[in-house]
Amino acid sequence: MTEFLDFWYNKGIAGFIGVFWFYFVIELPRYIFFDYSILLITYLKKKTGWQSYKNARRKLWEERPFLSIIIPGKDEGKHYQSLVRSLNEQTYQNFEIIIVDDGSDDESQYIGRAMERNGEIALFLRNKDRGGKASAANLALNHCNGKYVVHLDADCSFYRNAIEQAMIPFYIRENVGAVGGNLQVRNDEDSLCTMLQAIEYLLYISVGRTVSSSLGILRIVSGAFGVFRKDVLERIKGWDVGPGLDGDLTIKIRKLGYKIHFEPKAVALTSVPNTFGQLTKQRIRWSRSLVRFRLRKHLDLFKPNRNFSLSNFASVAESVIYDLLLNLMWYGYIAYIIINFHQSIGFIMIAGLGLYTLSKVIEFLVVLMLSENWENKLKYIVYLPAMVFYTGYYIRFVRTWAYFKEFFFRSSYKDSWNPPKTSSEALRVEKSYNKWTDF
Amino acid sequence: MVLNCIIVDDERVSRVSLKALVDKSSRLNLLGVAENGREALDLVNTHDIDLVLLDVSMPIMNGFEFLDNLERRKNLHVILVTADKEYALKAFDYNITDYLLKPVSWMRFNQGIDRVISALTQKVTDGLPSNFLLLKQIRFMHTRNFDVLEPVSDRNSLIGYSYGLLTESLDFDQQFHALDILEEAERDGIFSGSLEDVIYLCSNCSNNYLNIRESCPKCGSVNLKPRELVHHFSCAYMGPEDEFKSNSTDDLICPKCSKKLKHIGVDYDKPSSVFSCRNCDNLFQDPLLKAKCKSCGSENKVEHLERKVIKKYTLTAKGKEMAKGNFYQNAQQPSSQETNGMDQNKYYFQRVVKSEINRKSKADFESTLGIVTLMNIEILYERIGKEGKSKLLSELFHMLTNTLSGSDELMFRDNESIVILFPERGTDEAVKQIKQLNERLRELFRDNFDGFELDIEHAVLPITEGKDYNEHVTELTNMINKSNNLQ
Repeated sequence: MTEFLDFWYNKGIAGFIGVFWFYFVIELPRYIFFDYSILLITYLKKKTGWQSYKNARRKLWEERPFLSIIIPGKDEGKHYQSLVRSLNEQTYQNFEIIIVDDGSDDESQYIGRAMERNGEIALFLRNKDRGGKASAANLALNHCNGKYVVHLDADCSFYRNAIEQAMIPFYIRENVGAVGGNLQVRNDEDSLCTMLQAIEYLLYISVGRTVSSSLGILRIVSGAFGVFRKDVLERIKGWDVGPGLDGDLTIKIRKLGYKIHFEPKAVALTSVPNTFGQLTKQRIRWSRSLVRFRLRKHLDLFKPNRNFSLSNFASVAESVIYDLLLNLMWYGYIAYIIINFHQSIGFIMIAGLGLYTLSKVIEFLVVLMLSENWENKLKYIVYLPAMVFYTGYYIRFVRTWAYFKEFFFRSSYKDSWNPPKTSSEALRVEKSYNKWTDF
Repeated sequence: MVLNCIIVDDERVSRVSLKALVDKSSRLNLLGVAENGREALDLVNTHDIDLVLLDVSMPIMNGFEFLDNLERRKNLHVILVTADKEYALKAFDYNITDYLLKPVSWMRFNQGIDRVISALTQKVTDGLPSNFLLLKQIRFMHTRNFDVLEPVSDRNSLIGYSYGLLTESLDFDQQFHALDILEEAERDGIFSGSLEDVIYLCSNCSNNYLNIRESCPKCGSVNLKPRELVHHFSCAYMGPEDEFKSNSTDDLICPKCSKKLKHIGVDYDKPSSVFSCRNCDNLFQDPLLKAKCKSCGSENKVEHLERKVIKKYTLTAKGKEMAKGNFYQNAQQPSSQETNGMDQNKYYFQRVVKSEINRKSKADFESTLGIVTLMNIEILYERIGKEGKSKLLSELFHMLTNTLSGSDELMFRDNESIVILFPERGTDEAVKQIKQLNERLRELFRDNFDGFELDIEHAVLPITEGKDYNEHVTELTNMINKSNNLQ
């Protein structure tokens, strides 16, 4: 212990910063200073924007637009009843529910058919052969009657005012093409894995997306809970082959010049993977889309042509810089530490843990400040040291692996998440991409 | 179900108007008309009657006197038809089925017939088959010596299948009852059934002639347009096939990415289809299957159709016993109930022969009635005493039933004469059968009674329509007497 203190005493503050330069130069400004400033601005705007919020809400209720809630998925029949019950409890009620069963192997079709017959849902469509999530969503879109389309995952449930809250942003600002809902974890107490994901969702969805949204660079509307203008979806002709189709769809909407908004008050609860094994698979799938869509399909966003838009560029660039380039730089940083400080690596790791834990606590304070039910979230604080390993190492390794595999092997086209027939066709098309990015 | 009925009324006008009602009804078959109670009694005793339409005030024997003298039996129903209300209370003491006031309206008349039919089809709980129609059916099977009642596919039957006499006896719109009757008989152990088919019937009128087709779950219209859904793999677009069709060529062009679809299963697929309703624009994949009844016009949801099983029914041992009435059971315990058993057998035999005579008027077949008289048996009776006589009669009955074939019926007319019915067999066959029987009888007596040689006479007579039961039997007896006198 004294050796540890001696070591750092000798180093001094300059030496400490020198060792952890990666944190102080790259991560602290981005995740603490930047986020805090933006949140402060957002908060102040909200204070002054209270009147416009009220007006928007009034306009929503005056117009009462008809919504189509679409739920595409495979083997989700067991969730249908609870999902519909949750929707029937919504404060906003002018909607139809369309469920698409994408070739389920379980009893989904019987449950769905019975609900359709009982009038609990407007339409139940089933594909005998699985076509993938994108085609299922497109089939639903083809049969929507609403002015807005709400895309949900079947295993989610919703706060009573979630849909109303998700609709209001369309009436606050002009030209909003899509609104993303806030996702929180329902099964946080199942395991350490779900607990860490619960914290991650609060930090990176509830807070992270509020910041991106304020900056106008939000790059994803989550498929689990997103609201879209139907005319916009029709202009971009719906979803393309996934995985990562929700991020892809968001970029396509941005390219048309529409704004994307994140609404933290529209809360949906979702079930997350229980084990690190399942989580790894999920995250590899998610992470690949950075390469597949941002670096390949939508590479034109980086080109300074007449369609160039700074915010679209920033939304993709932020993700490419932070998630890919700086992530790779981190490995260089670790190599630098090992080479230069291999004798005192233990001290550095302990101090690093302290530093990053402190950083997570500061980040987490924002979550508490923004939450209405912050008392319920205090329980997460004791898990914050574990978050250092979770985001600092685990998620980083998983992402790196996914980027590598996708970059060199296009592994997302072999993912069983999609039927092989669609993946192979999508791959063939991708090879001729630059011709295909008109919208 | 068709009931045999008679009209008993002294006034010609009443008789004519009642006859008009009976003729109008498809459920009644008029067997005779009587002008007083006496004539009515003769008709009842000589014909297989189900219903008596009875006036009260009549000369010679009035309605109540007729009822006093009537040997009451199950399945004989009386409807009183009178101009006087005052008899009503008294009439119901006689356990009549209905009381109609003259002049009788068609509706009221039909209500009366309904009552009779519902009483006849009600279960009676004395060990006899549960239903009058069933009894008719199993008797018919027994007398025709067939054990298996097979459902016959029949376009003209309400349920698409007919069960011989049982279905024929029921009105067209009541024919589904045949299935209920047979199911109940199977539960009672009269038949054993094996599944042949499953049918669905209109939930309103039980008709099997149904038109099943898809309809819109929202408005019920059958004006539907089915459309296949096309999934284009590379851009994930999915929509109805007509969106992919171009006006100018036969090509399928994706409306999202404008690519030409080339090869099903490789770049596109048709994973499902949808229906759209031309009437209300509703869109759905799961049309409502509805069955329109061609008879009553009701629209049934297919899940609401009445499901019935069609079985092949085989008469069980119990069923065969029941077909013979209770006698066979009693013959097995002869000592105490013998006389009673004989009486029941007489009644049963008479009913069977009467039915045979009735049937003869409707169908072309030959049946024969025969008589066997044991001429010198009185000598033996004197020798063996009263108890010995009773035992001998019982043994004789056993021996005769075992010797005759299953469909033949017999009755001890008295202690000397046995009357035998040979259904659907001509006189030659009957004579052959009787001769064999006589041989067995002689042997039996030779073996059991030393020094006694049985003298037997026999005669046969084809069953003829127009002669009643008594006339047949009297003629047979006369034939025996004649031949005896000749000797």
